[in-house]
Amino acid sequence: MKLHFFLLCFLVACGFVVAPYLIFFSAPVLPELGLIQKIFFFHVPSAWAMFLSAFVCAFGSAAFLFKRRRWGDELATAAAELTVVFGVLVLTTGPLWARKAWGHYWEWDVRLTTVFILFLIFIAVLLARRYGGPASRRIAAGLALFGAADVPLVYLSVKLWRTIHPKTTVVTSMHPDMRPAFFVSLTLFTLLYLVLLWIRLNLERSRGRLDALAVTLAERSTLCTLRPPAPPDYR
Amino acid sequence: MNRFVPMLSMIVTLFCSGLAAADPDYQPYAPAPAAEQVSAPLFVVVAYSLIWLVLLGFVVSVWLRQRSIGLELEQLRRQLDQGGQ
Repeated sequence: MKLHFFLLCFLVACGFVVAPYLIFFSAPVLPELGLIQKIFFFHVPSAWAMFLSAFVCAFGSAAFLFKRRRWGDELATAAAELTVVFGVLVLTTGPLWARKAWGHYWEWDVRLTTVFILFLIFIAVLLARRYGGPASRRIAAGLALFGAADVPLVYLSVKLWRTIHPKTTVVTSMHPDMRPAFFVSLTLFTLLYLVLLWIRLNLERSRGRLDALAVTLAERSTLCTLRPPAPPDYR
Repeated sequence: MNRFVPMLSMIVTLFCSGLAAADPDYQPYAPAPAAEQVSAPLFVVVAYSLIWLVLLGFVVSVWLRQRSIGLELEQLRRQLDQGGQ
């Protein structure tokens, strides 16, 4: 298992060397798009990782809510945090591109707004998990399912409504010389997501072990205090 | 069946809120005038630096949390070995 993890880390490390090389030295700078278009090569994969994470979180939440699986809760917690992390990447790189392309950092456009809502829902999942009290796990799981329902809406928003955000066809209609850089970057972010999920899941498992050990210790202490008193010595 | 009804209603609510948000008179923005143009190389560098910083921050935060849990685990194990007192 450890070998798989190190292999994955090695692939990600290679990807972080190859992807920037392809993006900056191999993919052409189209005159109508300019240099700012280089942000696209990390912005879209970040969004893909965010959506993937939202679905993984929903899967774990469903397993926990409907089947009472403990691993489901661990997976959902790890994935919810990663959804927020990749959401930060999407919501910072996007406005930087938009400032150059549209002249504004932010527009209350349907695509941007739905992504922002998705980001807020997963922040709510983390807050519910942290401060929700005894039912926090179930509340967070329900919220995560609600958040995942927003993902198809985000994807379809540019098709269903008039928006200034580039359409999803931007990938299929991409210049052929840009494709290797884009797909290497997409693969890199998928592998990076798996590595981060792995380490975050390990943290959640350690936390579970800590809780179990604390309960065992508390039970032992209680048993010690509840031990019946020794019979009196009448000698 | 009962558990799917709230989910379905949530999806419908999200979809309807999206529909309501779509203004039929919406006009896409024109690109900013040349005077307002910003340096593309600077923005690309900022974007890539942010990506690195956020990812590094996350990895460091997980590592710190893992270390703190490891220390607590060690302490609890020691207490258990000493007889749970």
